[in-house]
Amino acid sequence: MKVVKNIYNGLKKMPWKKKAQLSIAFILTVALLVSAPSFAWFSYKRRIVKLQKVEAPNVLVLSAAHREESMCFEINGINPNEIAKDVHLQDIKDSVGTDPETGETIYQDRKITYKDYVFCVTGTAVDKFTIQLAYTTNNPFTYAVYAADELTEAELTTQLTGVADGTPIDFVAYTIQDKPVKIQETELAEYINLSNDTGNDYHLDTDSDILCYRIDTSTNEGNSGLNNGQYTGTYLNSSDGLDANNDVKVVNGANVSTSGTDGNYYRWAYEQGDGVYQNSHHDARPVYWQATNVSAIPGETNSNRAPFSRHFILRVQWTADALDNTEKETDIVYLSVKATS
Amino acid sequence: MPFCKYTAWEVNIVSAKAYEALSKSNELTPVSETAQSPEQRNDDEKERKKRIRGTLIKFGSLAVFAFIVWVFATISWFSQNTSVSGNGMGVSIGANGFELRVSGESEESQGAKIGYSDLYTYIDSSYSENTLLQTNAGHDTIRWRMAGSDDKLKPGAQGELRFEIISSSANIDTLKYSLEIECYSATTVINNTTNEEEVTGLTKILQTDANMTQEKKDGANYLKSHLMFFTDREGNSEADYRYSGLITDITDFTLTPDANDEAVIYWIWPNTFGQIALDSSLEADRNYLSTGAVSVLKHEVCEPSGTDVPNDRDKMTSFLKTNSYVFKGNQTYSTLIDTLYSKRGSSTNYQIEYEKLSGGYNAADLAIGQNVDYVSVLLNATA
Repeated sequence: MKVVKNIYNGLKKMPWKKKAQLSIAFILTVALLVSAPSFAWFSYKRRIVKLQKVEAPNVLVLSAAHREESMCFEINGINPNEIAKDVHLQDIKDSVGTDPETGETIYQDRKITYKDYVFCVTGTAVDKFTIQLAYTTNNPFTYAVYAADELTEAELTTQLTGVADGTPIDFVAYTIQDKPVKIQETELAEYINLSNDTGNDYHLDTDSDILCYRIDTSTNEGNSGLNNGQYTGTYLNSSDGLDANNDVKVVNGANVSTSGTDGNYYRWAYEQGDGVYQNSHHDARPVYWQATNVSAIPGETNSNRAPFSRHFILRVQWTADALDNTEKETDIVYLSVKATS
Repeated sequence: MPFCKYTAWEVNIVSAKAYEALSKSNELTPVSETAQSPEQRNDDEKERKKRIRGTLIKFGSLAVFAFIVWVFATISWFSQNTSVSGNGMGVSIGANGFELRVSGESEESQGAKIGYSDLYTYIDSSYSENTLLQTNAGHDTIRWRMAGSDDKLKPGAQGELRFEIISSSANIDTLKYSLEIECYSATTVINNTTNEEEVTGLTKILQTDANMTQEKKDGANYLKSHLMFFTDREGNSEADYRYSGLITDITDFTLTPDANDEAVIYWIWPNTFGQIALDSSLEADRNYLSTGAVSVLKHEVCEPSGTDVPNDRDKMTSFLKTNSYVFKGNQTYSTLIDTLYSKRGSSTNYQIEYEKLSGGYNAADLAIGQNVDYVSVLLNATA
C-alpha cells in the first residue's frame, strides 16, 4: 500500500511533460501487447503435404554355390580322358560292337563331353536380371547356362530313385567351405535376412555340408527364353551362335556382318577398316552371350522387393574326340549379372 | 596466607511500589477499557478506510488481470483451427485471404489416390482427418494426390508439386513459400497371411533424438541434400527433363503462378554426380556420363555465368562445395570439385576426381536407401 501511495504521489509531482511521455510510452506498450496476438490471428498459413516411400537399394551378388565367396568357385583343368558318370555315379559304358569270337558285347568307357559348374545369384529388391557370359574360344567349347535346384544329398537320392542307369549325370555336388559372402563386413545371409527362408526350392537353410545342385527342367519363367531348364539367350557378336558342327563360330574377317547383331562396341574395339578385323587373333576375341529377364523369384514378380537367392549351372561342353590332351589351350570365361528391374 | 572462604550475598534494593507489583505479578489483573479521545477515533476510521481501499485495489487489479487473460483465451480459441469445423463457416478473413487447391479426386470411389494414406496418421493425425482438395479456414493442410505412376523415391526419381491458388484478396504473386522435408523410419511387422511387410508406425528422424542411430540421422541429412527443387523445367518426358531456377533456400522462396493461378515446383533426386556437375549436351562431358544420362541443369545454365550475378551453375557448385551432406566419404570434396572444373576447363582428363566424387555421391545414396524409409514434403504458403 505504501508503495502504491508513493508511486501515486511521485506521479502527481511529475512535470506534465514527463507525465505525457510516460503515458505515451504506457499506451504504446499496451498497444503492442494487444496487437501481437491479434496479428498472429490475422497472419495466414495454408499447407499441402505429401508422403513418399524411399526405395531400398538393389543388391545383386554373384557368388559360389550357397552364397559362398567367389573364391570358392572354381573351373579347373578339364581332363578329356575322364570317364563319364551316370546319375548313380556309375561309369557309363557304351557298346562298341560284339566280340567276334565270344559273341559278347564289348563295352568301352565313355569319355566325358561336358562338365558342370554351379554358381549362385543372390540379392534383394531385384525382380529381373541379366546373365552375361563372355569367353574366348581357344578351346572348342560351347557354354550353356541352366537353372538349378539346391538339394540335400537325401533329397537328391529320393529324386534319383527310379531313374534308369546310364542317364548322364545332371547334378553337381558342392562341399560347403563356410566362407559366406560379405557386404561391408556383414555376412550376406544376415544382410538380406534369408536365414529363415526355406520356402522355395531354390535355396536351403540347412546344416549339411554337402549340397547338390541339379538342373531343373521344370522351372517356369516369363520371357527369359528358358527351354527345358536351359537359358537360350542370345549371342551378341556371332551371327548365328553355333554352326553345324556345334563349334562356336567366331567372327573373323570374312564373316563379319556390318550391322545388326555385331553391335557397335565390338566393331569399335577390333575394326581396322572395311569390316575386317585384323588386330587380334580370332580365338582371342570374346564371344558375348546374354540371357535377359531372368527372374529373381521364378513364377512371381518380386513386388515387395524381397531377398532372393538362385542357383545356376554353367555347362562347358564339347563334341566327343574334339579335345586332344596333347594340344592344351586355356580360355578365359567372364560371368556377370546385372539387375534390370 | 590461610585459605579463606568467602561467601557473597546479593542484595537488591527495590522500591515499595515495585515490590508490590512484583509480588502481585502472578495474580490475574482485569483489563480495564479506557475511554478514547475523538482524534483517535478519526484516525481509526481512516485506517479502516485505507484497509478497505487497499483490499478493493487488490481485488480490482486481480479482476482486470483475469479479464485480460479471458480476452486472450477467447482470441486463441478463434485462431485454433483444428477444433473448429469449417464447413459451414462463411467468414472470410479480410486482408490476406487465399486458399490452396490440388488436382485429383477427393473421394476414393472416384479413384482418389492419396498414396500411403493410412500412414499420414503417424505424421500428424489432423492431416488424415480430411480428404479435401482445397484448404479452408477449418482445415489448413491438405494432401497431394498421386499423379499417374507416382513411384517410390529412388535416385533418378523426379516429379512436380503442382497446386492452384484461389485468392479472395491476397496478391498471389507475393506469397511466400517454404518447404519442410522430414524423414521417417518405419517400424514394420510381417503379416502372417499375406507374408508382406506392413508398416505399424513412423518415427521422425530428428537430429536431436538420442534414440536415433547416427546412420539414420546422416541418411536423413543426405536425402535432404540430394533432393533438389527447381522452378522451371524443359523437355518432353522423364527421359529428357532438364531444369533451371534452382531454389537454393527452401525455407523462403517465391513462385510466379501462371495465367490459371497455378504454381508448380519441380523436384529431382539426381541419379549420378555427373548429371549434376556436367553438361550432357557436350560430347566431351558425355564420355564421363553413362549412356543416355541427361544433365540436371538446362544447357543454357550449365556453365558459370562469369559475372557477379550467380546463375544456376554457380549456385549449384557453391552448394556442392559448402553442403557437407552431398557426399559420403573422407575426401575433401570441395577441393576435388575445384580441380575437376579447372581440368575440365583446360580439357585435361579428370577421371580421378570424377570417380572420387561420384563414389561419394553414390555412397550417400546407398546410405539414404538403407536408413530412411519414408519422407514427407510439406509446402507452407503464407501471405
